[in-house]
Amino acid sequence: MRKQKWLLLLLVLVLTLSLALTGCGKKEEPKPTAKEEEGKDDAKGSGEEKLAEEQVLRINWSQEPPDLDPQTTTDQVSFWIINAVYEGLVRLDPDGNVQPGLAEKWDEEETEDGGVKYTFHLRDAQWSDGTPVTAEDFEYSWFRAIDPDVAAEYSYQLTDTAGIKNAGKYFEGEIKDKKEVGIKAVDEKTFQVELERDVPFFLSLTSFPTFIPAQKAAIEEFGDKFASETDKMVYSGPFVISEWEHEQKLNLKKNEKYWDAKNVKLEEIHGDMITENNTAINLYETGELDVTGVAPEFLDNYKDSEEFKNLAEATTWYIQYNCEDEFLKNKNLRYALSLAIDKKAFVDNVLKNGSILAEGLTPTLLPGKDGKEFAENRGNVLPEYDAEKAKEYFDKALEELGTTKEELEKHLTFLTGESDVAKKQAAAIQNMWKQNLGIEVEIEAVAFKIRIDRYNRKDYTTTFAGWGGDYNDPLTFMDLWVTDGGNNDTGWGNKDYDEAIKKAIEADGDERIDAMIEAEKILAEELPIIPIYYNARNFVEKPYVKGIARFPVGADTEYKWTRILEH
Amino acid sequence: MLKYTLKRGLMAILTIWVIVTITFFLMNSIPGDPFTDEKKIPEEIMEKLKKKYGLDEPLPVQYGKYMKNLLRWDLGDSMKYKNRSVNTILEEGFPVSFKIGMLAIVFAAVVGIGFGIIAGLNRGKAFDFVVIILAVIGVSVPSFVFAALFQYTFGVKLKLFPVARWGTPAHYVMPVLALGIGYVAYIARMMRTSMLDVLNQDYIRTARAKGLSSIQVTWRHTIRNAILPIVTILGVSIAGIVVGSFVIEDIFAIPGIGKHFVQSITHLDYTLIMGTTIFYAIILVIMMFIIDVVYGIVDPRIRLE
Repeated sequence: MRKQKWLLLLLVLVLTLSLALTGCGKKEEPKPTAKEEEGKDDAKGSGEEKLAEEQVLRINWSQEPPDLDPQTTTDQVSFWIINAVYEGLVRLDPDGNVQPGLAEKWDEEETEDGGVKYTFHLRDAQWSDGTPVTAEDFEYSWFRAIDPDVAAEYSYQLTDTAGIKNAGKYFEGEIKDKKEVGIKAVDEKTFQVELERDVPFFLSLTSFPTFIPAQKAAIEEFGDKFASETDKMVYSGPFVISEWEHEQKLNLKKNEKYWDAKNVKLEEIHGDMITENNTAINLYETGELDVTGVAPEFLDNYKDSEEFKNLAEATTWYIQYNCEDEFLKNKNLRYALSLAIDKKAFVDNVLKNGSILAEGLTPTLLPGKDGKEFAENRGNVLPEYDAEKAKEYFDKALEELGTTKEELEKHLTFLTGESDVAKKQAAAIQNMWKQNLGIEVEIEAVAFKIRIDRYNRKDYTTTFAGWGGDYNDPLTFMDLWVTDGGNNDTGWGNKDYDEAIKKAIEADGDERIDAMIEAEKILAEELPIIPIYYNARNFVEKPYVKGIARFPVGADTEYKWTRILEH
Repeated sequence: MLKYTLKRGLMAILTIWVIVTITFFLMNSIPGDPFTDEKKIPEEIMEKLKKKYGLDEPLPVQYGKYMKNLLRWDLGDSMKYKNRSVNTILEEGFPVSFKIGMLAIVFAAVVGIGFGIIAGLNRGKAFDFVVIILAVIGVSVPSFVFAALFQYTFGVKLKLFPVARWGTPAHYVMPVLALGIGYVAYIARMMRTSMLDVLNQDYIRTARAKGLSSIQVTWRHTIRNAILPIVTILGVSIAGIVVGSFVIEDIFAIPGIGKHFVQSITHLDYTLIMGTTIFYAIILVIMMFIIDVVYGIVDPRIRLE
C-alpha cells in the first residue's frame, strides 16, 4: 500500500517536472519555425499514431491547373499536382533533404574540363500503365525541356541554373547533335548528366517539375492533347489522377504501382478548385475541407487558433527604383527614399499578416553555410529607418540634381497593382515619404500585365515588386541584379556585384556563400531596391491531418507522407 | 415572316462581325500579351510561343485567319489553359451557367411579375409599400452580398444547403436565389409602374364601363398590356444571365463560363476573350430576335412585316 503511494507520488513528480521543464525549454528556445515543427512532429510518423479508417484528404487547389505537362508548366497549382502524380530522379523528404526517387543511387565524378558528371542508376519503377520507367524517358523529357520548338519557359533551369553541358547551345540551335549534349541514356536503367560546372544544389534541383520525366510513349501518343484529360496521362508518382472535372475538381488516388506505395498512407485526395477565399474558409468551418489558406481579411479570426499555421516562404518584396531615370540614378535620392520607409511599422501595422521583416534580399529558409540559413549568415545588412538622415540625403540629392522638390514631386510616381491590398500598401509608402521627406508621390495602380510591360520598357520611376525563388539556393535571388540580367528591370549594374555573383556560380562551398553575402552588402550599399519583407503563407489545417510537407521553393507542398489520424 | 427573319438574320451577322472586329483590335491594343509574366521569358522562347499561337504575324493577317476559323466555329486553343480549346471550355461551362441563369430568370419573372401586379392593383396599401421596400433593397444590394449572406446563413449556420460546389439539385438553390433576387426587384418595380400606367388608360375605363368583371379587366386588358415592357427587359436579361455571373460562380465554386468573361481579360487570353465575346454577342442577337417575335404575339398592334 505504502509503496504504491510512493510510486504515485513519484509519478506525479516526474510528470510535473517534465511539464515544467518542457515549459521552460519552450520559453528559452527561440520559437521553432513552422518548418522545423512540421518536420519534427510529422516527419514519418512516430508509429504510435492511430490512423483513421478513411484515408482521404480534402484540399482546395484553388483553380484549374493550367498545364500539367511537367516540361512546359510554370504555375504553382500545376506544380503541386505534378509533384503528387510524378516523380523525378530524387524526391525531397519532409525536412527538405534529397532522397532517392526514381533513381535508386547515383555516382558523381569530376570531368576533365572542370565539370561534373552524374550517373543515375534508376530503380525498377513502373509507370501507372505497368511499363517500366527507363532512362530513355528521362533523356526524352530533358531534351524536350530544351527543345526550342517546345518553348518551355523554364528551360533555363537546365541550360543556365543546372548548366548542363551544351544544353544552352542545343536550345539556341547551335548544336543539333544530341550526342554533344550532357544528357544521355546509357542503357535502360542508367542515365547520365554532365554539368559544365559544379552546381551544389543540382540534386535537389532535379525534383523541380521541369526535370521530372513524362512518359515518352504517352507524349508521342497524345501529342497536343497530352495531359489535358485524365486518360491522356501516365503517372509515376505516389498518386494518380482519378477524376478531373475541369474548373470544378481534380481528385487523386493512391498509385498502387508506385515503387514506394507501402509508405503512402493516403488513399485519396479530393481537390476542389475554389477561387473565393471566403468560400474555402466556410467549407473549412463546416468540415468539408481539411486544410485551406487564410486570406489577410480572415487573419484576425484565426491567428490565435491552434489549427492556424504561419510558414515563411521564399519570396521577397521590395521597393524598386528605375536607376536609368534621370533623378533616380542619383544614389542619395534612392537613400533618401529608402531610409524614409519605416519597414517595421509597415510589416507590423500595414501588412499585419505574419510577414517577416526583410534584412536583405534573400529571404529566410534558403541554405547557407555552417548548417545555418543564408539569411542568418548574412544578418541584417539593410540601412535602418531614419527620418532625419533621410531628409539630409534628400536635400543633398536635390542639390546634386539641381532640381526642386516640386519638380521631383511632379516626376515621381509609385507604380503598383490594382488590388485593394496593393493600393493600401502603396498608400502607406506614399504617406511615409510625405511625412519624412515632404513629397507627395502619386500612386499609379495598373493591371498586372500592364505593370510588367512597363517594367520591361523601364517606363516607371518607383514601384513595389516581389520575387519568388525557383530553387533552394540564395543564388535564385542574388543573380537577379547582375548587369543587364533578364529580370533586372532597375537598369542598375555594378561590376563588383557581377564579380561576386560570378564567383557564387563558379566557386564551391563557403566561398560562394561569402561571395553572395558580399553581393548582398553591395546591394544594400547601392540600393537599386530596398527589400521590405518576406512573404508568409497563412493557413489552417485540421489537427488530424499529419505530414503535409511544405518547402520554401519549387513544388512547395508535398502529400506523399500525409496521413489522416483517427478523429 | 420569312422576309423579316432573313432581314434580321443579315443584320445579326453584320452586328456580330462588327463586335468581333472591334474586340479583336481593341484587345490587341492592350499592353502586354498572354505570356507576359513576373519572370521574364527569354526572347527566343517568347518568339517560339508567339509563333506557336500565330501571334508573330501582322495583325491583319491574324485577323483574317481568325475570321476564317470562326466561319468553321473553330475558336482556337486557350493560351492560358494549355491543350484546351475555347470550344471545349464553352461547351463544358455553358450548360451549367445556362441552367442557373434560366432558373434564376424564371424565378425572377414569376415572383417579380406577381409582386408587381399585386402591388399595382393595391396602390398605396400596405402590400404596395412592402413590395416597394423590397424592390429598393433588391435593386441596390449587389448579388454577391446576397450570395455571401445566403452561404453563411443557410450553408454554414443552418446547414440547409451545401455551402458551395456543384453536382446535386440542392447546389442550385442558393446560386439561383442570389442571382435572381436582383431581377425580382427590378421586374417587380417595372411591372408595378407599368400596371399603374395601363390602369390609367381610357380603355380600362371603357372596359369597366362595359361591365366586364374586374378579373377580366385585370387579366385581358391590364396585365396583357402592362407586361410588354417586361418582355423587353426579360429578353435582354436572359442573354446576360445565361452566360453566367462571375461573382456568383466564384462564390459558390460553380464551373460555369461566367468567370472567363473577367479572367480571360486579366490573363490576356486572346482566344478566350474572343470566344466569350462572340458567344455572348450571338446569344444577345438571338434573344433580340425572340423578343421581336414574342412582341408580335403579345401585342397585336405590332406586325412583323
